[in-house]
Amino acid sequence: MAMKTMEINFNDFGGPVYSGRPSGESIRESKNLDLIDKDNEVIVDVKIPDNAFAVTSSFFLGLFGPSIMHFKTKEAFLAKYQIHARDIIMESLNEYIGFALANKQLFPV
Amino acid sequence: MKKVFQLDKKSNKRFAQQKHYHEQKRYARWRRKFRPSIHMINNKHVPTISPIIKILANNTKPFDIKKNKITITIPTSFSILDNPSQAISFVQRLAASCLDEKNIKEIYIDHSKLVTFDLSANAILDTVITELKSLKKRRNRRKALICRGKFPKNENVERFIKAIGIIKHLDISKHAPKREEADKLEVFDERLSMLHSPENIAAKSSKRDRTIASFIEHTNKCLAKVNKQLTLTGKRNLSTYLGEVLGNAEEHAGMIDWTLQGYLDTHLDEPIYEISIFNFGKSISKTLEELDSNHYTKIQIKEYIEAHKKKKLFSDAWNLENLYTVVALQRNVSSKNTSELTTRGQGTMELLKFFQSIYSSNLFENHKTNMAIISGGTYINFDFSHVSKLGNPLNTIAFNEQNDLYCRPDEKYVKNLKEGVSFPGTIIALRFPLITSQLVDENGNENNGN
Repeated sequence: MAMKTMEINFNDFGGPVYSGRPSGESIRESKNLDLIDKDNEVIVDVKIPDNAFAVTSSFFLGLFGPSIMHFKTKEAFLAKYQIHARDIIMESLNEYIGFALANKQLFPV
Repeated sequence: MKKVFQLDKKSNKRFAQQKHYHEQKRYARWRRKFRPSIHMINNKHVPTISPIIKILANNTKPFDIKKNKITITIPTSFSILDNPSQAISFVQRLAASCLDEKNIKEIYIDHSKLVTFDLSANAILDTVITELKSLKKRRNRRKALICRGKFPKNENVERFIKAIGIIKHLDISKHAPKREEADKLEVFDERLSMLHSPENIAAKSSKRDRTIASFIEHTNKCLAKVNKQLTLTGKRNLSTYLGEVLGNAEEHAGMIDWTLQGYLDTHLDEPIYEISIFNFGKSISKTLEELDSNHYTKIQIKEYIEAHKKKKLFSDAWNLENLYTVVALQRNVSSKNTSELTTRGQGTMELLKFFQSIYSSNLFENHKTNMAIISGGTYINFDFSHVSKLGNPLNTIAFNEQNDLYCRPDEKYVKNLKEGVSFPGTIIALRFPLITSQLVDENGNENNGN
């Protein structure tokens, strides 16, 4: 089965700082990522330019948060959304994925 | 037959005009009575009271207005970091005076006694005055607001007022710092206020992201004064922190008005770099307080609230508002979360991470570093020695030795402002010596890998 590739290039969204939950959510909606998540034949290529200063957790989770929760594991999410970014940005993104998947209980059960 | 009084055509017209005039006057009286906050200028609705001035005023006792003039004397210590109750109370009194906008023609600001100051206190004061000035200008009043005053006696303080104080905000160019003075100053001052314009998500996020990028450049210019630069990690961390803070200010406050300022004066023997970020609107605790009792976040933090009530920890010095503010800073807590599947509530920890990394750099005298958050009636002082012990990743900050949310925070970290003193919004004030972490030396080598 031939996989289709879709590209999300952060150059299209301004920069070099990517912040704000509403911005991330708005891009998610415009790219129909809720539908893309359910389509097993699509891989998403995410390109973050080298000149990016930062991607905030709000922006990233606004854009990809529901996808992370849909795929339930970091590996499954990154298999679907193949992110190309400098190490320093990837370090942050890996942390955000971890936060999204972590136990949200404020008090230990 | 009854004689009918008949008017000629000219009299009829005059009568109709008078009738129309009286109807207009009656309508204007009705409008003043029932719609006091709206005024029409060029068919556009313009608030008759600045929303900022209105929320700051908060039933505070105003300064006297004598012969259409307000005279204010800035106290010797006017600092959010060092004396938050006094500084906020002063600004609230000024705002309360400005409610009587029609009767004010002049403001006289006496800075001569000012010695201890900070960016935040000064910026909020200036915001009140510029709001008043803008309001009068929008009303098309024939006479604009007259601003006069006295400079501080201290040379360094005078330079501050000229570079980023009221002189700058009122654009009084004849008193701006001279070129040789300005060369040793780095100033950053941006404000986003969407109170008088319709909300536009794209414009708002674009302004925010551009402001952050510019602020990074400004920080590098400050560091360049001592042949230093932010590392890639430093740029990332500072951008992330600012992005979260400004994003929170836009999303949670209920109104969009934030200010980001930076100031560095290298005339001083020991230059101190200051950052001030503040926004107007709902305080942190209010965003949680207003949630429904069966809202996910309210249920999430209920146990914490109950624990404090059961232990009878509440007093004059530690109340429910303070508690909501502390809880709101924890990871995964956000008024916008609706279930475990929502992923909000990471922003504050970005802020703390950034300052943990500064503290751990060992490149400056820690006791001279200050950071504080003021929101509503709550003042939180970040002692870096405390923050540095909290471990990584940072999930909880309880502001006590045990780092236990079930226990009351230590009073040296979390305080209640004086009764009646409350800031309608959130202020983050930072002050630290210039030489800091996340630096490269002249050869471009990173320090400490932070």
